[in-house]
Amino acid sequence: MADYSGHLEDFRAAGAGLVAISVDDAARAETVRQEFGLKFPLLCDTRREVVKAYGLLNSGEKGGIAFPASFVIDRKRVVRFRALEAVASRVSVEQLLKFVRELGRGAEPQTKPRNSGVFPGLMFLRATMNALRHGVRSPNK
Amino acid sequence: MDERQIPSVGEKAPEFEIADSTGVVRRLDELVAGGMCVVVFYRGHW
Repeated sequence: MADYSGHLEDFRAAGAGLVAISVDDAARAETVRQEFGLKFPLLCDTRREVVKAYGLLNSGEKGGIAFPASFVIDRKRVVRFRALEAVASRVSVEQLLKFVRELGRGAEPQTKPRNSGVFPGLMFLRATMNALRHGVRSPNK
Repeated sequence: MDERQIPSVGEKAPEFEIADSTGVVRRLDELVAGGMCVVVFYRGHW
């Protein structure tokens, strides 16, 4: 988690913000945010409106939750990159950062973050998701 | 999951306006105004 905090600053420096969305309510999300010292907003889609709009509602899980997915969205709200965990699309945080930096400079990225078999990565996004998961499942409370 | 509905590269991402865990309302249009935004959907508690 310490590692990805550093990357968060890198993304910001490259001109990219970061938010995470789940169907968790504010109280739960805030507990998670503080527990992990997350420095970006956790959005609470308790009505599942956003998750549905993005086609990511996993209604098989109680009440409906989000399928894990990551997007890079530009200032015109156009999707520039997406990774869906359900189809095992993976990219390293370094690749994603490079992509974002090139976009930030106004260049068409030469290094598209292609899916790599072993995604050590979207590492930091992955770490976030895992941490959030393990956090909420943590038995030491 | 309806993959056809998931916005693809080159498509417009659906606008949203929802509160974060601290009660601050976040709009996608505002989040991307600075250049771009990484949006991560996570499972949360289940």
